[in-house]
Amino acid sequence: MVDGVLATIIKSFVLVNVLMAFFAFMTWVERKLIGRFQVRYGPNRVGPFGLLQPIADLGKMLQKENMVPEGSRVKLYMVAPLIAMTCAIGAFGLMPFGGVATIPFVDYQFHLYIADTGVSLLVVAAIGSLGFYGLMIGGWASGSKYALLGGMRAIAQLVSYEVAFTLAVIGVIIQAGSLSFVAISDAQVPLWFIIPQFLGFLVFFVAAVAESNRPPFDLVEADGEVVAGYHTEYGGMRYAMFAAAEFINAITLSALGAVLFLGGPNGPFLPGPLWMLIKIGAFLFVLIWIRATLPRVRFDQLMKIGWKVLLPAATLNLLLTAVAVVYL
Amino acid sequence: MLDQVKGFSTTFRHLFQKPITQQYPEYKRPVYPRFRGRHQLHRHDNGLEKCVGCSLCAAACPSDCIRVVPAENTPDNRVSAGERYARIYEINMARCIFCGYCELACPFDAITLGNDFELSEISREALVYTKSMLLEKPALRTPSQAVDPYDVPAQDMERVLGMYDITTATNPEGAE
Amino acid sequence: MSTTEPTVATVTLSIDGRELTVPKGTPLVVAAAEGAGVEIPVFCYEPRLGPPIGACRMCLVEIEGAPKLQAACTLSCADGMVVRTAEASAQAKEAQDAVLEFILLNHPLDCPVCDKGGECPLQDLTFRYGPGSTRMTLPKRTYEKPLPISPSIVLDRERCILCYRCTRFSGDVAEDGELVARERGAQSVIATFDEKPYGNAFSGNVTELCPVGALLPTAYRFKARPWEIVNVPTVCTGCATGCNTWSTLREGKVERILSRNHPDVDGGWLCDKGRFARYEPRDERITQPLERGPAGLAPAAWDDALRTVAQRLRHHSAADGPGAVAILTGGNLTNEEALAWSRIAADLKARTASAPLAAPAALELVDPCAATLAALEGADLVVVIGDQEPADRAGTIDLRIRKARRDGAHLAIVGPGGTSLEPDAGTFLRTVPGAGSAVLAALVAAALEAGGDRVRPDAGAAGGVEELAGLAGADAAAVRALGDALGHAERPVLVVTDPLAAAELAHAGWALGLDRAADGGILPLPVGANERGERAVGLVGGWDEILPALEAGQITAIAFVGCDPVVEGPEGERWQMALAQAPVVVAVAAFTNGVTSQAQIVLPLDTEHERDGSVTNLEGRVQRVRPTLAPVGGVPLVEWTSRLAGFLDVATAPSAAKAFALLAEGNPAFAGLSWGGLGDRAPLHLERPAARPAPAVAPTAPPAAPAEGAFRLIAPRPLFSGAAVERTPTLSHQRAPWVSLAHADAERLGVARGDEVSVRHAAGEHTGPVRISRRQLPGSVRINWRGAPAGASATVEAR
Repeated sequence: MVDGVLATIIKSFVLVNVLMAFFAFMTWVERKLIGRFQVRYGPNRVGPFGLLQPIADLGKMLQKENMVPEGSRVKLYMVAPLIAMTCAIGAFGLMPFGGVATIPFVDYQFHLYIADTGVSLLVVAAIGSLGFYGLMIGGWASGSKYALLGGMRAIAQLVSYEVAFTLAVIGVIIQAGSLSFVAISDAQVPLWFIIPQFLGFLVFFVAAVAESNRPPFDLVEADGEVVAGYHTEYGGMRYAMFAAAEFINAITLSALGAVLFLGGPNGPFLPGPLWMLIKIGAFLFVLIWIRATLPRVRFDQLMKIGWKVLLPAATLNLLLTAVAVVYL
Repeated sequence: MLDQVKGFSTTFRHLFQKPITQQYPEYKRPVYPRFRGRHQLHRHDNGLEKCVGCSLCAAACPSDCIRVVPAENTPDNRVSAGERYARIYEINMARCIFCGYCELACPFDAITLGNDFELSEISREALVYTKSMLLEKPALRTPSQAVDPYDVPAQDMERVLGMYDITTATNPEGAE
Repeated sequence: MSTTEPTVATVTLSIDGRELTVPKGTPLVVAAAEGAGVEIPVFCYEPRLGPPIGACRMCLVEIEGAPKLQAACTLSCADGMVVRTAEASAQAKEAQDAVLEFILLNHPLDCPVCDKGGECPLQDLTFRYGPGSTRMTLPKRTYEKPLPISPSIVLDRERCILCYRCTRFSGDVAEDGELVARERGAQSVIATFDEKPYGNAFSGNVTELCPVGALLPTAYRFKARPWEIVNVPTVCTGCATGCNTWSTLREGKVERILSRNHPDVDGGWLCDKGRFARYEPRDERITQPLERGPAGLAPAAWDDALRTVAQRLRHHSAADGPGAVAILTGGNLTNEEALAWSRIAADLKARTASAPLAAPAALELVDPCAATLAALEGADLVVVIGDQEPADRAGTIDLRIRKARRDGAHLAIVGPGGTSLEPDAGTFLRTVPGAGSAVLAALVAAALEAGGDRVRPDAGAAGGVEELAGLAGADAAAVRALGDALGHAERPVLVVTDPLAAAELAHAGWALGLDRAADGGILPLPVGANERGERAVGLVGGWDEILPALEAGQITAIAFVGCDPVVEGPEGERWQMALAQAPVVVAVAAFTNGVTSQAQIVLPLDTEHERDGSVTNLEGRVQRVRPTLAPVGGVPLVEWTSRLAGFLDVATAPSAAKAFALLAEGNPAFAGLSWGGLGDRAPLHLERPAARPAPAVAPTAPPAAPAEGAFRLIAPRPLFSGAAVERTPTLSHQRAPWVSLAHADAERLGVARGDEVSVRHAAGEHTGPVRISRRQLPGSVRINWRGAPAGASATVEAR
């Protein structure tokens, strides 16, 4: 606990709420942006510019039937979305939004992150991987073959891209010399790691898209392939939790990218959180742009990219970084 | 590789183009004269119904959505111009696929498909159109390219059709 | 057929280049279709109407060696014939096109409004062989249309293509001569003789024969199209013949009945009763159990009513001893329904009855010498004995008898006269009314005297020829002549319509050796449609045995399952009075009738199109009855009867299929049959049993001559009677009363044909127009009352 129990609880509360609100807002942004990429308006009926669309969607989700399929393992079925959500949000606990902030009038100081261990990166990676348990359990416990297929694909995808992801990130760690986010952010003040670690950034980016199950790597839930993958048998709020978990995963990875390669909360003129917001926003914009442009890859192509393209690239990057750091 | 970049640039360029969405219901795109919408049963000029209840439309219908129960015309109750008339004539709009086969099958041009397509209801029963509903002229809520051909005398048809420029009506906002 | 089959002569011919060998005498049209796979379109060709006439010219083919085209229907295959049909010969194709074009020239564009559309041979053949457009620019000839030639049939002359199928049916099959072709050439029209309504009992068949929409039934007018209906294969249960039918269903209503053509049973014909009579309107039906309370009959729940019935029957059976309960049917239940009731009756030790008279119903005795309906076709002598016309008893048998006569059989009518088979009969032997028993005994005696290969001289006659002939009021010499013919005929068929005791028929069959005639015999005519089946299942007995016991108070609980002796029986008044005193009366009925007004509990009856089961026709053929509609009471009779049986602790099957399985296992009349195997054209599955000696039975004397000035009444139950016929408006003309008098009597009374007379007899009064009969017994009057004792006394007055 960096700031004490009460402060941590309050910060967690604020963070979760902000995240969920951000997620809701991002669904609107995504739909509007994709619409614009496709020369059409996005939602523009519900509220001015369709801003109330997420509220309408929430209302729709809430009033849907909460069914439990007959062949499912009920307890696991119900707990799977929770696992996914929890891990997705939990990873955010380690993201730095700045350094120290002060509340005026009261003169109370607190850190703009909930926790910073010396091994934050490891923890985030671990928690993110834990989130995939939710997908796998959800897929298997649904008692439906498409769900099972989707869950299996999710695991295969995770395993394939986790290695490359980690190797790319190790390059950053070697250059920064620490696993702590704060330290990594500070190490980028002179130069963002995106420039020396460009190969690593590319690998990281592709792996991040795959890890977050975003198109073009969204075979896990592709309609034509596996109906709806692991969340086929989910409806209403449980489905909403899976969707939220997936998107928050994407936000987490964007945040990771911002911290590891774009300097985190550091930047001139604007406060840290705002810079984080801008950088995360930039990542998300690119993610949405990719979604609007690229078609889905086939599963064997996905595997090929993961193992035969990204892994050698990440290894190469690692080697080059190691050599550079030792001898330069 | 370059093609990938071209792809991305295309979608990026789209961000700065005006969307081509036609905002229904503020703008209702006019339909072609031969658009197959809501059915209509017709009468002769003297008021007798053209439909004789022969049930050929029901036979032609691929969705089995027309129900015809005929009855005999009697001197004090003459409804149609033949020996028989349709006592019950129902079309289930929920099953109808608007193919127009009934219009093609009818030997008396009694049934045609007009231009009204706004037929939503909130109950299935309300979608079963009865004969009296079908005999009515449709509500003028869908703009049509041309008037109902049945309302235009033959010699005026060419002139009337020439009044409507069909080629430009697809995209009034003029996108690419 | 006799036991040794002669080898069938065959001929070899070539059709469209294909060589085939066919039996000699095969019509060319049939050979082409079956042998060579070539369709030769026809309109007027219908083998059931007799020899082909080649009227429509549709089947023209080219025969090598003949300069002009020949009609294939009139030609029989000959050896070495080389035939080219329209498929192979341009000349024949041109002719085919031309004939169709000619037919269509004046044919109105009525298809959308014509009921035949969709099932019309003219449409089908035009589609397959006809021109795509017409060259007719002149106005078509028109007639006044539609013309109702009877309340049940409508004629549209514009559509008629003059194939003459209807006139041939009327003239050559039903032999009534009512439908004729008038005028000639282009003015030819079909009309009824003298513009009278087409009143023959088989008139409906022309609506099926007509290949276009010229003759159509009024009841089906504008009701449905062929694609909107479902045809259910079933069997008519109007009489014991069991003609096979298709029942046409649209939207929960039976719209029409068509013939399903079982060649051995109905030959493709239906009588108008079977075709048009319906148990409608459905809202007049009894649809739920009713119990009589202080305010009359009130609806009751099924289980309550069944429990009450069970309690009461059980109480009276236990308290009043065996025979205190009686269960009556009219021969109209299916075998499965009858099985349930017979088991209940057996358990309650109840009396049963399934026919108005007990003795005639025991037709199993006649089985060793029973003929089949198909036997009529090859018969060389057909003898019809009785007051009643065969048509009134068994519908289409009349057409079979006429066909037998046309094919060369000698037809002998024995009775008081005034029936429609007499005019063309070879022999008419006149007796007094009710003399069937006496005259049969006389004929047997005459045959025994005359001798013959088959006859058993030691069988013993019931008396001398003169004595018995005198008893019957018949000429002894004529009796001798006919008896001689009976003894010597190779394939005689005896049709008895009077209610003779089965023992008498059995004796006649034994004495005449009819069991030795493989294709001849006695044709037994039960009264109820499934009387044979009910008897086989255990419901034996007659109403006439029950009535005295009921009047004497020996029967304290009585159930009427689908029968109404008050209205239908000969002793209606007695029944009514006896029922008023009976403690428990249960009625199962379709409409309120004579017994429901006396019943304490009324249960709904399933009628013809609502029952699923099997019925046994007069030959013993078990045929499947399939339901077209759901039972109006919601529960099939078989099911609720089994529930009733359950309350009585009697085991019986809850469904028709299971009941049939029980029958097939345990009942010899159903041996070897299976529910699923009761196919569409049921065969006769039982062999004739071995003959047993049947002793002579003293004949019943006909009723005594009435007082001076009074007439002998002949009033057998007509075909068009019963609850269904009474409720069918298109058959109203068939129920119109008439009075038939002998010529001498009419002169004496000063009445001419068509004058109204009124006939008064013990059971009531009957008024109608006069018909003069040349052969009717003077001093007798024949009426179409619903049934009165034969030979009863009646007075006739002109009005």
